[in-house]
Order: sequence, then C-alpha cells, then structure tokens
Amino acid sequence: MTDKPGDKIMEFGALIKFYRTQRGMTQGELAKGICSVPHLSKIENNSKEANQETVSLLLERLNINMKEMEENEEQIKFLLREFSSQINFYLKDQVEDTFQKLKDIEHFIPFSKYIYIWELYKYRYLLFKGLLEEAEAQRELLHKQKKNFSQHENYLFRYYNAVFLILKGQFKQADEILETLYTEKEHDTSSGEFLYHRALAKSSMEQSGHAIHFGKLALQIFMNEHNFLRILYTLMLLGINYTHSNIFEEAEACFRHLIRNAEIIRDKKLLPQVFHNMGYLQQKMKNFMQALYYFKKSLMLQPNHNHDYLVTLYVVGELQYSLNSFEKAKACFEQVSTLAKDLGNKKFSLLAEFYLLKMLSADKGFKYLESKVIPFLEGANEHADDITLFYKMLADYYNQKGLVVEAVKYLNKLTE
Amino acid sequence: MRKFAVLLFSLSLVFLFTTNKGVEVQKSSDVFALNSTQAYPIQPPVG
Repeated sequence: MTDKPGDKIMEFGALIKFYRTQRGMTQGELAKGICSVPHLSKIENNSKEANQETVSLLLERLNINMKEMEENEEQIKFLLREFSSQINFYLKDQVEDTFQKLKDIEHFIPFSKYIYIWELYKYRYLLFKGLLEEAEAQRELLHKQKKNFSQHENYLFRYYNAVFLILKGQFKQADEILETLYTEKEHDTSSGEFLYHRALAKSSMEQSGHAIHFGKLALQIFMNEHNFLRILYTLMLLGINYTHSNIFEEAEACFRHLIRNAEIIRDKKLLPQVFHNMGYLQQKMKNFMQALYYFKKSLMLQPNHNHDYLVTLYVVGELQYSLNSFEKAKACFEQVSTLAKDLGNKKFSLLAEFYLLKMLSADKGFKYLESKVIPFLEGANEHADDITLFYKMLADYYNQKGLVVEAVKYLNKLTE
Repeated sequence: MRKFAVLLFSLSLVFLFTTNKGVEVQKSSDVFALNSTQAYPIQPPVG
C-alpha cells in the first residue's frame, strides 16, 4: 500500500462534524470567533478547503489534539501495511492480531484517507478466513461504493472478487477477472499472491500447463521474499500439476520436499494433504500399493469429519474396489456415504451410493449411475475426467451386454 | 535451526527449478487411457 501524489489529506470536515455532534455543540457555538457559520458548514461538508489555522482553532475548541490525530493516521497506515504483508506471508495469528488492532481504532478510520482501503481489507480478511457469507455481505457493501474508488482500490476490489469466486468454486469466472487484470497492464499484477491465485484458478480448471507457468513465477517471487509458507503451498500446486501433466519426476521431488518441510514445521493441516497428493501421484504412476500407503497415512493424520477426509476416503474406496478388495471398498463407501450426507456433499454421497449398489448388483448400480450420478455430474459442471470415467464404465457395461446403440452413445460423449 | 532449514530448502528449490525440462500438457487422447480409478488432488489453501 503506497501513498500516491494527489491523495487527499485527512477528512477534517467529517472529523469536526463528528466531534461537534458528539459534544452536543451547534455550528454557531463552535464557529464563534473563529469563522462564519456558513464557512464552518462548508468545511464540515468538505465543499471548501479550510486553511490549517482555522482547522487548528476548531479542533482546539473541540479538545482534539491535532498531533494525536496525525499520529492516529500514521498508525492506521502502518497497521494496514502490516496487515497486507501478513496476509501475503500467510501469518494467520499475526493477521488476527493486526485485524483486532485495526478494529480497535475503526471509529477513527472514516476520517482518514484509508476508509475504502480498510473496507477492502476487511473483505480480504473474510476471504482469508474463508467466511464466505460475511465476505458476500462485505462485497455488496463495497459494490455500492465502487464509483468512489481510486484506480488502485478498484483493482483491489476486482482482484478480491476473483479470490471470492475461487473460494466459491467458480474458477472460470475467477480466471476471467484475473486474466483481464493481467492484460490491462495498469496494475501491479506481478505480486506473488496474484500469480499464486492465477495458478490456483488454472490448477482447479485442470489447465496444468498454465498452472505450472504461473506457479513457477509465483514461486520465484516467494523465494526472493523468503515467504516460506507460500513457497510450500506453491510447491503443492506445482506437484499437483506436474502429476496431471505426467511429469512424474518433478512431481515426486515437489512432494518429497513438502513432506520433509511440513514435518519440520509440524504443520498438521498441510502434511495429510501432501500425503494425499503423493498418493494421487503414485496412483497416476500406477503404483497402487504405494498410493494406498500414502492415502492411509493421510487419513491417519486428518480429523475425520471434514471435506479433505471425505475425498481421501472416497479415493481409498475406489482404489480398493479396483484392487478387487470389495469388502474393504464397501466399508469405505459406507463411511463416505454417511459422512457426505453429514457434510451435505451431494456428489460424494451419489458416488458412494453408486459403488455400494454396483457391488450388490451391476444392473442396479449402472441404472443408478445413469439416472442419478451422470445427470448430477453433467449439471454440476464437473471436471471432464470425473465424468469420462463413468461414460467409459457405461460404454463397457452396455458393450458387454451387446447393447451397441447405448454403448456408442457413451463412447460419443467421451469424444465430445 | 529454522533459518538454516529455510536456507537449505531454498537452495534445493533453485536446483530443482533450474531444470530445462519442458512442460507437457495432458493430451485429450489420455482420456482413453484412464485407469478404472481416479484420484482427486487436494488443492492448497486459497489464503
């Protein structure tokens, strides 16, 4: 956050009006002997530039210390800068601490030139914390004010909206905003954080080549900043996308680095995620027993009631199923089914139900797949790979039954 | 100890990412090479 030439100074008009009203004084009482009432009125509404002497006299009569006010302004500037940097460095505790300090002096911020920056940073804070409902409300509030934003504030608003969309799983829309900001060339889009979010959006859309490109750029910047946690998260992104692009050697190197470092810093959240992704890599390399080993390690370290646990458990179920360990697969899918319902995750609830039915009767399973699972996956704009697996299963199923027309229907969907 | 670990880690990263290997994007024909199972990666935090 930098001051730019032409930035307005502290909002003395609003400040004077606020304290005059708070002290129960009329304009006449305050202006007496200092300036005329219409003049004071213009100062309060910021329609007239007051000279410093008049302002000092008015503040003095209101018992406001000008020096103290300027110090407060400096304090706000300092805290906002700290706040932005701490988010960039992913320092959760410090972010919380600085946010509370800013909340403590929040009543003063409207009189400073940081009013919109503060509201934007509140939006960023809610996104950082993953509080989507509150973030949406803050977005609405900011949307009403956006015509008053400076160019930099407008950039921040659009950038944070892209982060909001990533959190909502609307990756395409997020990517479009980030792409526009990137090509406008009027903004500083060379920050590690911006590039990281670009890589994350691309990664979530399975555009691995692009994700690797932006991930490498972000990594370089984070390394120059010694931004340790963001380096680890970017490495995770790169590992996932190297895996997806079949660049297995690099992917494995990324995950091995991550395992070592997550263990050193004792990051309880990161480590099981890395084990999961190492399992994902091993599965892709067709090292199924190794994959199972890493997925199980991941499960052991995760709290057993969240989305990550659900994903890992489902993957273990699929893996056991493909290894013909049907009893173990059944136990997994039963657990997935219950947990998915608890967490309100329809996708994994349907998928687990499909496998459970298929293990009882192939016909019932495929009927369920066709009537419930496929329409849901198609409607939910799921990743291509998610659906193609099931198209292929259905094509094989109908082919084995000699129902060629149905088999061709799903083979055609595969090539669309 | 922690600073030393960070330094070692950064040096190994420089070595790792100065490789000249190109980026291969998955081809659409890979779709047909799907195994009977698929894994989902867990993406890092949005932050």
